[in-house]
Amino acid sequence: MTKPHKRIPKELPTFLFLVALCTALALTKHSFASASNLRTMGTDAAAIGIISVGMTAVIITSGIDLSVAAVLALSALVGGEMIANGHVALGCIAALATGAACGLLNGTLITIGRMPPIIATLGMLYVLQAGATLYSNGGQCVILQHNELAFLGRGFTPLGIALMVFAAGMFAMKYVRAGRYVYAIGGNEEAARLAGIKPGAVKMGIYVLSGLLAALAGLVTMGINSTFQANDVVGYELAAIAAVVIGGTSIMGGEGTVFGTLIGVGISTVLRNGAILIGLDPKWTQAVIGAAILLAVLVDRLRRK
Amino acid sequence: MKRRRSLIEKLVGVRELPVIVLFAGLFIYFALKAPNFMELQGLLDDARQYAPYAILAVGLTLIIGSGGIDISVGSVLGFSTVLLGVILSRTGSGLALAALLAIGAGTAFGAFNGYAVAYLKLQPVVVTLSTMAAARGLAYVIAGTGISSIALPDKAGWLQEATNSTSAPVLLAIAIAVAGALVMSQSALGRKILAIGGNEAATRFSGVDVQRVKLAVYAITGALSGIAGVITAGMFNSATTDAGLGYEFEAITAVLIGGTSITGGEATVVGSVFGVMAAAVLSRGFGLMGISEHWRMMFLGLILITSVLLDRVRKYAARRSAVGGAGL
Repeated sequence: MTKPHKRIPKELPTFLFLVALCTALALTKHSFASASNLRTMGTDAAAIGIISVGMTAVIITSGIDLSVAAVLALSALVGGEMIANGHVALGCIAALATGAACGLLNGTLITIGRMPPIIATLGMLYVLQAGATLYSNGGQCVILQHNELAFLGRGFTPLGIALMVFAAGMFAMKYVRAGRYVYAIGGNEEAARLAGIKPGAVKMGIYVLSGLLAALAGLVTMGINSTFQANDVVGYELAAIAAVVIGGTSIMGGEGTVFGTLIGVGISTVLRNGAILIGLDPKWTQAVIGAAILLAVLVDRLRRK
Repeated sequence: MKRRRSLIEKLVGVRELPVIVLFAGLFIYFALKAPNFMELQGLLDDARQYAPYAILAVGLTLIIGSGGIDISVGSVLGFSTVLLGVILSRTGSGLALAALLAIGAGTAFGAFNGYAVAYLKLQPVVVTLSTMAAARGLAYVIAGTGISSIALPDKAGWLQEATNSTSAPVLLAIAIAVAGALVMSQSALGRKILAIGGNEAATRFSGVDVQRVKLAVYAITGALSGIAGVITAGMFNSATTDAGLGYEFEAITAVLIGGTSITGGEATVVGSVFGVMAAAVLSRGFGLMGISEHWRMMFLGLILITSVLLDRVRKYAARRSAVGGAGL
């Protein structure tokens, strides 16, 4: 590790792409940089942003969490019902506890059951998504009449919460011991174990964290919409994985940054928003995001050569 | 001296045993409990509904056996379906040409996946995630703004007839499954696929063109997704942009329940087909008993988790007995 500060940051190409994308849109469409549009984008990106921070840590341990969207849905519904009945604080705690419990279950299957993360969380995706639908009597809406969670969903608050989660994630991955362990495990689990790290405990913690963040994202989503339905967030797990991968985190583990993921979330949000602004069929964006994922991994490969 | 294995030990060693027991158990249970479960026409109808899943599962068995994964199959199926609809409704092309082009498009997506995995050495999960998004996006794009369903014109009447009024989809799925099972057990390609899944580096050193084999399995799966897409269009008599949505998860689940190992090297097409059949029986049984579809999903998830945990226990036991046999 010689002169690490001289190296070009890994995130530079994607960061420049995001800047160029924003500049081009701001120049061609005046409405792009308007406060109301920025608020719209922030609101759009918040939930996926929050879960993608946990996803980043999971993927760096060379795991994956396909169940996050289902965890989000179940915890939002469990908490939402209590909140709709007037128990706001209790409902928030119940939502977070549900998220943490689901994460704990994922972590248990993966560390103690020694199951490949992709299968354990795929199974959990089914169980929890079905659980969320059944819990809400076949997919009925939870409606917050007075939107008790408005304090989480008003104006720029969702964006602010997401950015705080990102900031905490960046700090933790760099300066907190557990964050460094995450990289060590992803890089070489056996070596990490021999160095005295307990990979099982760290992974368990990471999946619990992923579940907790999913629950937080669920509360924010309810604050924004004041309603929630079990299949509102189907597919968010893939959007989060896409953001992480576009942000330069290696799916092989051991490498990647939360800041990169922030850029990844930014790119997919701006692409979606920009397509609508310039009058392009928003359906194009999915094709473009597919291409962006591929481009990101290709650039990463070339960079390594 | 090596102890002769008892019949029970031999049976436990059969990869497909758990899924066959599961299928038979569910079948017998629902035959006794669910009203009209054994009605032949209903059974055939449901078998037809599940033919596309079985076709996808055969391709996925080859890919997972080689140590890869493909989460784009549902989207590729959707693209092929929409392409078929677009060509038939907006050009003068006949059914045969349109079907050929739809299957060709599926093959192209698969070949692209295979090329990126084998030659660009990109991770299968990421590559197929990107194809998953891109194929679905392109399906929306070629359908056109605001159009989510294209009715098939009269010239596709034969396809609609064949997929709805005969057992052609089931027979086709069976033929593909038999071909897949033969490839895996009898052909050099099958042995190479499993060798790559077991130990890729060693397979390369022994002179196998690993890249070509990988390209082939992804391309085959793409072609199968295209075929499943044509069948799906026929069954609905229309091409919907949401066709195949989520099929990848169901097909992967069937493959893993069937006894194929996610880490590659061990695969069974027969097991995968039983996995699809178990899911189909579950769907029919729950449907007839008036139990919500969501219970089926939850059940499927639990079966997936249990079957992989059982696989781990089985491997652990096999390792212990291997150590014992070596006289340690």
